[in-house]
Amino acid sequence: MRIDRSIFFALEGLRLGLPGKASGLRQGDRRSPYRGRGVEFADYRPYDPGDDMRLIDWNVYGRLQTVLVRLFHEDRNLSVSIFVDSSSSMAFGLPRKIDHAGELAACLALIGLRGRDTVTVATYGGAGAPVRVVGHNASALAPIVHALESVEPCDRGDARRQLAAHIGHTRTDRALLLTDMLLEEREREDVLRMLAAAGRRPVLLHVLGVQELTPDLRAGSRVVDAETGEELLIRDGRQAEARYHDSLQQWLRQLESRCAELGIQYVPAFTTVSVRDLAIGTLRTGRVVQSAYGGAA
Amino acid sequence: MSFANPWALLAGFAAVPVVVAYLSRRRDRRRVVSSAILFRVIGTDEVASRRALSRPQHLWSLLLVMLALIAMVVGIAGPRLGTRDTNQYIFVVDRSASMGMLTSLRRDGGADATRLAQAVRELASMVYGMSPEDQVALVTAGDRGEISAGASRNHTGILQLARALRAGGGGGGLPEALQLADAMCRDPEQTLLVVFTDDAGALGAETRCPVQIVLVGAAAENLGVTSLAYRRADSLGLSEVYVAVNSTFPEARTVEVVLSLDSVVLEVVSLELPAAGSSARLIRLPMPDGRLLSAEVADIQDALAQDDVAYVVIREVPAVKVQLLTSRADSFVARALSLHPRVQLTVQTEPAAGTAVSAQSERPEFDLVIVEGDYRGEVPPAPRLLVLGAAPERFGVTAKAAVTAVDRSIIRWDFGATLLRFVDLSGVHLESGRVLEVPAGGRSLIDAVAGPVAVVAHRDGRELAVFGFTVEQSDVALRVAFPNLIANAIDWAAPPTSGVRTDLQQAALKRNVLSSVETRGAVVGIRASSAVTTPMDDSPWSLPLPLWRLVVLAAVALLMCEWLLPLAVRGRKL
Repeated sequence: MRIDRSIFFALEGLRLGLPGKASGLRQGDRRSPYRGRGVEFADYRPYDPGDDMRLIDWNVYGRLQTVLVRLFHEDRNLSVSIFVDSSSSMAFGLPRKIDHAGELAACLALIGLRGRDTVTVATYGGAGAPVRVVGHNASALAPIVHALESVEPCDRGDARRQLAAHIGHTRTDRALLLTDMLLEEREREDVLRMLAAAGRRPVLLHVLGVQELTPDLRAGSRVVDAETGEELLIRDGRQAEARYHDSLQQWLRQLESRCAELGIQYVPAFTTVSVRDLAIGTLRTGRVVQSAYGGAA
Repeated sequence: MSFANPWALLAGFAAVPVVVAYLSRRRDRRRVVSSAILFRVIGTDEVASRRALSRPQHLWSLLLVMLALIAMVVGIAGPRLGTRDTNQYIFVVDRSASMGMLTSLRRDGGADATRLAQAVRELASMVYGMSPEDQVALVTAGDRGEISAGASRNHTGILQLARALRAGGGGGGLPEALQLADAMCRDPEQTLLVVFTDDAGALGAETRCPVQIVLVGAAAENLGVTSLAYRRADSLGLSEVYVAVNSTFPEARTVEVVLSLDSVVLEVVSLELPAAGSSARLIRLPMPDGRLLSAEVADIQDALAQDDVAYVVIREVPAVKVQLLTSRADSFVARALSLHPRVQLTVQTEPAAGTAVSAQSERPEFDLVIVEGDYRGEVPPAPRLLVLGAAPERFGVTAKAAVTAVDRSIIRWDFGATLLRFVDLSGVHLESGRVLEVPAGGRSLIDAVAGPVAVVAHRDGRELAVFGFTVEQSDVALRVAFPNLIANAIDWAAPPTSGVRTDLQQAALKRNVLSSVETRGAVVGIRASSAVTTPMDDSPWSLPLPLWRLVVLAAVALLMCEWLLPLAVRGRKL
């Protein structure tokens, strides 16, 4: 896939949004559910042998003659997983869906890395070996971009198995899936369930191209599935266009509805909208990203 | 209609790829998409049947294209839908000098601007519209009619011959050409004579086959020499030159006519020409024999350049050797002959032994022998023999009776005969003489009340003129008729004049002097018949050719719309 690096300069002042608390293993600047060392006082507990003597609150001991240890809110970083579909269906469109998704994934990774979040970028769905890169700071952006650029859509692999392997290796606060979801119904359901289980408040970034949104069917045509080789005959061009539009809208509504049922945030990321507009528009509106300086969403 | 036309064949064969393209159009629209999932709602799985040619989707479009192609093929192939026999077209092209007139006064118009070029263009347009099976022939009309090409299907050859024609000469051959064309007419029902001319009035007699006249040209402003002649004024070398110029210009004008002798200017004659009229002048000039006399109108721009100059050759006149055999010592005839400048006279009054010439002599010594009176000697051989009052029986003519006082008045003479040109015998009286019997093959020259008194005949290989009286037996010697008679006898017996000596004269004689008809260049005829191909059958399917051309154009426009409209719509959408 090809990634336009000029888009990175437009992403200043953003950070990944999270509706809950961060559970990353590294210290960060996000409120975590854990108590321990930190800046903000949280609670007291009785001293246990082995506790750090510096955490004993000597003022309480002087008044109450009880040894208590102060507990603080721990600030952790965010663990984010970004999964990019690399099946052959992503190779269509202008721009290609895979390029659009890769660019968007790189942008999200950059936003996360700048916030010192742990970002895992992985590909799935293709026939080749999946790529998986983990980064903790901005210096990891280059390996991630290079890894993404090394991936080209190729045939169709076992998306469910590959996705399960990635999710099993990663502790994730937020999972983002960039795919066209052009899967058979059962496989699509499996992928959605797996995404729902991957973390709290996962996000489906639905990537579709012009060819899927507004195909030219007026002259009639014979369409061939790039992945399965299935052929279909399209007749009555103008009527077929209208019926296709209706069925597409219905399919999108069903997908969004199913995502809502599974607790997945559905975000359309069609190629008709540029990555920059998505990053500072649709994703901010959906709180996938937010201002790093506390601005309004 | 013939489909042997290569363009018609091409258009016909074009139908095959068009039909194939329409039938295979859907196969060419095979598109690979990211997934067929979204298309299942609107698509069917008929693709299982992989036919080479699918059913046409755009049936109306295909039908329109086929209709256009059929119209184009029919239009190119020919204007007739019904079957018919092979037609024969005989083209008669007038190539007289007037056909060389420019259709406009611009001299830079070149050969294409002449009436002949216009006629050839009309001919070509007719040939292009014919069926290849039609036979064509070409007859040209200049000074006389000639068959340039017989009937054949070689249309290209006919066109080449027609384009090679050059205008020149008189237009007298047009009736003859039309008769030749009519003689070539195979079947009046299937043959059409097409005459290309600027003077339909000269066509002449009726013909068996129908004639279509294609009138070319228009009334032109022209000026040309219509007459140039000379004659000897005396025996001292003085000649009279007669020159006439005709003008069709609407205004009067003065022109200068340059008379040249062998390209040396002899005289410049000024002529006052009225509007659309002619003017002539007689000039006396000393001119030697054997020269080329030309008259050229100077500094004039008109429709025809060929008649701006005229030529005439002043031929050398040889002497005439005359032997007068007379019984008179002093004869009027001898005196008259001795005064004639062309005569080399030998007079013999008594028979001499040396004058008897054998009849087997190969070459006669004299051009004319005149036997007068009662001369009884031998008569030498000569191509022409004139007998004046001698015994006619010696020369094979029978004398019937003597002329009496009652019937000695001359009542008729053949003034058309060479011997009697300008000879007026009215009031001439015969004192005596013989009434002659017209010999077989001969004819009477002069008739008196009693009968013929002068006859001409052909005897023993020589021309014989026998008068039943001598000059002295009548009062003709007192009249002007006498010297004219003698002069006519000299002209009658004169040997042929010398031929043309130089190439310049030879070339000039081919042009000579155009007739006033050619110079006037008037267009005579009915213009309504111009350039219209008359159909030779009454088939209701016959249509004029321009309509078929319109059909072809409409077909092409239909095809263009069929292919260009989708492109335009697509471009607007982009």
